[in-house]
Amino acid sequence: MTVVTIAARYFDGKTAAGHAVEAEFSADGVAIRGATINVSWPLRDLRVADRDGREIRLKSVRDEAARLVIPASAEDQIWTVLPGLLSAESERRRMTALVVALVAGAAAVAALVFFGAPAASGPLAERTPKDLEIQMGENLAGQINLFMKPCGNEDGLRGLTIVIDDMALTGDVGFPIRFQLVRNSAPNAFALPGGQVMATSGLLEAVGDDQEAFLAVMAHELGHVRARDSLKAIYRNAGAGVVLDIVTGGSGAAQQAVIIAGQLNQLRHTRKQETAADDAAAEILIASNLDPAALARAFDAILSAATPEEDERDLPDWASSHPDTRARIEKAKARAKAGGPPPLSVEDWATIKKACSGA
Amino acid sequence: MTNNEIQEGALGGASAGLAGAPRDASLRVVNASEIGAMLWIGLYTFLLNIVTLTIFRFWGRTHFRRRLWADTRIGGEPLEYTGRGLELFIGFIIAIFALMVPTIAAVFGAQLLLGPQAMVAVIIPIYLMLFVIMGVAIFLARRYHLSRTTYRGIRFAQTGSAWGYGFAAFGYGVLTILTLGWFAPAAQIRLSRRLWSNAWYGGVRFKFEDTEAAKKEPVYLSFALAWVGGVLAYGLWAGALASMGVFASAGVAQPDVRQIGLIYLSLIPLVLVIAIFVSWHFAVITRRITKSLSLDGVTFSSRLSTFDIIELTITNMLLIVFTFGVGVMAAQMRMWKRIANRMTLSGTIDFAAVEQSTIDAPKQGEGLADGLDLVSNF
Repeated sequence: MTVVTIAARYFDGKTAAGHAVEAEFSADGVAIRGATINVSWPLRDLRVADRDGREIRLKSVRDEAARLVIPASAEDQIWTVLPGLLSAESERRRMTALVVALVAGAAAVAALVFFGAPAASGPLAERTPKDLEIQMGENLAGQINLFMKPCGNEDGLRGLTIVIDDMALTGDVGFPIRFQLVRNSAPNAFALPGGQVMATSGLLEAVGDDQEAFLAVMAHELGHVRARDSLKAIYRNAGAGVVLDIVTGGSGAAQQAVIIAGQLNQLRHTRKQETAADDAAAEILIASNLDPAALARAFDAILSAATPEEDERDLPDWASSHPDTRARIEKAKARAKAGGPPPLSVEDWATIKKACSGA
Repeated sequence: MTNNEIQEGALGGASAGLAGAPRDASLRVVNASEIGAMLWIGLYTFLLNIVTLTIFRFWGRTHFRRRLWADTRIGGEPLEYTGRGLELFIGFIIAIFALMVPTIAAVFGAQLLLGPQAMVAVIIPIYLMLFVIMGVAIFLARRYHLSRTTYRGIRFAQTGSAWGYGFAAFGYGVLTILTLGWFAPAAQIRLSRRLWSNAWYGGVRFKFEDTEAAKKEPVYLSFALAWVGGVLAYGLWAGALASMGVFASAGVAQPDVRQIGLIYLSLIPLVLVIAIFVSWHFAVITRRITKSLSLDGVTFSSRLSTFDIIELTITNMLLIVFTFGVGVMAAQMRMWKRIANRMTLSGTIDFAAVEQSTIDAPKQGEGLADGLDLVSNF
């Protein structure tokens, strides 16, 4: 049997002392011989621990600590008895297998995050007991009230509260409505889980004397309440955002790219919810004998109250949380249908407009 | 000494240089890493991170370390990194289910199901505990690092208490805040002492002592410059932006895009100026810690200079910016390369008397640090 002998260094893994040895490579593996060393590593146990342009460090799977160090230039000689041994080929194959496995795993996670969590959020929300959702809404409202104080003067708002409650009953939203007017200059309104609906003083200011526009926005929020959109969004965020955040660890450019993709996916869902809530608003307004086109006037008022930087008009659709406002205005206008007189008297509305002006 | 000379020393032609005895008796520390190799690892890690939702990062980090360790030779023999990507990945999964998921569930649940006061009462202790756990994570990552580093076939090891380190780091952090930062250098030296005096090479324990050379380093003088310079630079920066009216509209409405861009852009010179003020202290504290170390008959020293740090800070920042982050590993390599090549080991060690470590190597250890985003590539 042909044997190739290479002068090498050997570390036995028991002490740090180095040993000058002769490594005898043959088809069986390698025999390592020195003054005090006599070890054989069969071919099946032989592995490359590390290699660079200068040296190849060999190990045996039966002795993880010991190292046989041969010059990289000896590779050609070794190949004459062990063709292909030590080549980087097997390393490359392992790397390819690893990457394929990881891409498959990542695809599974992505499917879970982008499709599984949003798909599960609907059924999960429907199966959540309403009492639990109401409690969540109360707690979240309490937290929001730390930053957005409710305008006092509950008595002054009673008329408005009754009108909103009537709309909720007519629209069959399924939750008792807890309406709050909160102090904040940005014109906005939002629905929390469990029937919590908030409108800002800025919205009240923006619509001015047009109480129907204000009620149209409330109808839109009631649409969110009925569809349990806030709860769904919470489940979606919990499922997708948290998983994504955990998987990616959250730093570095590649991580940011993945997280942004996840956020854009979230926005796709909120835009769908907004469109559905606009449809629901039209239905509730008609059922309440109000003109659905009032929603268009509300959007107009919000747009003109906002500074150019504040609204999302300049953002492309896929980067916005809401659909394009002008398209929403056109859609609402097209639904115009004469309704009855405004439910609140001019005097009552004047009182309501003052609700936030006190301290 | 050039690379060629080192290579000759290591391989020594045919066979004469391959003697078993240490050929470079001076225990010279040399790192010969090349930027191209590290940029390549950085590039494929970046690309594979995208298609694997960043899961490849554990393997990319392992490749980087294996290269960096192997390129670092002491007395002609390289360090070897024996960690594996799979270990990092499994450790990360364990940390997620043992810590991150329960924590997120608790915080999330508290927000949804508790009123404001009760929520705060639940969340604040959780966050405080997380700060302690950050220290635990750093300790465990370090223990993993050392256990996966071998030199001449002998493992390094870290002993000591992870929780002890976590609470110490937390306490020092509180002291640092209370002293407006002035405790930071003392904290860093104390934490280094805690780690290094429990670090082992095989059966030989490292010592961390306040040697004369270590005590001569102007730790607090350099810190004072960093502190005063940093505060001044920050004040000037904030003042300059304020005089341009950048903050004026912040409270009223959302600031516009140009202003946000301006703030980000102005951060570049700010960070650079602060980095230059800090560079003296960085060099000093690195030398202070290095000069405190000894192992058996070998004492450590460092000639790392302030100019080294300034030069590397500027060039590394350019390297990272112009490679869109792909060059982070290369930048970290350049810093390590300079630190290693400025390090000297003097004295002797009888390698035949250094026995294999009997301290159990942990199976994982970096998962917690990864989950808390504390992990560094090396």
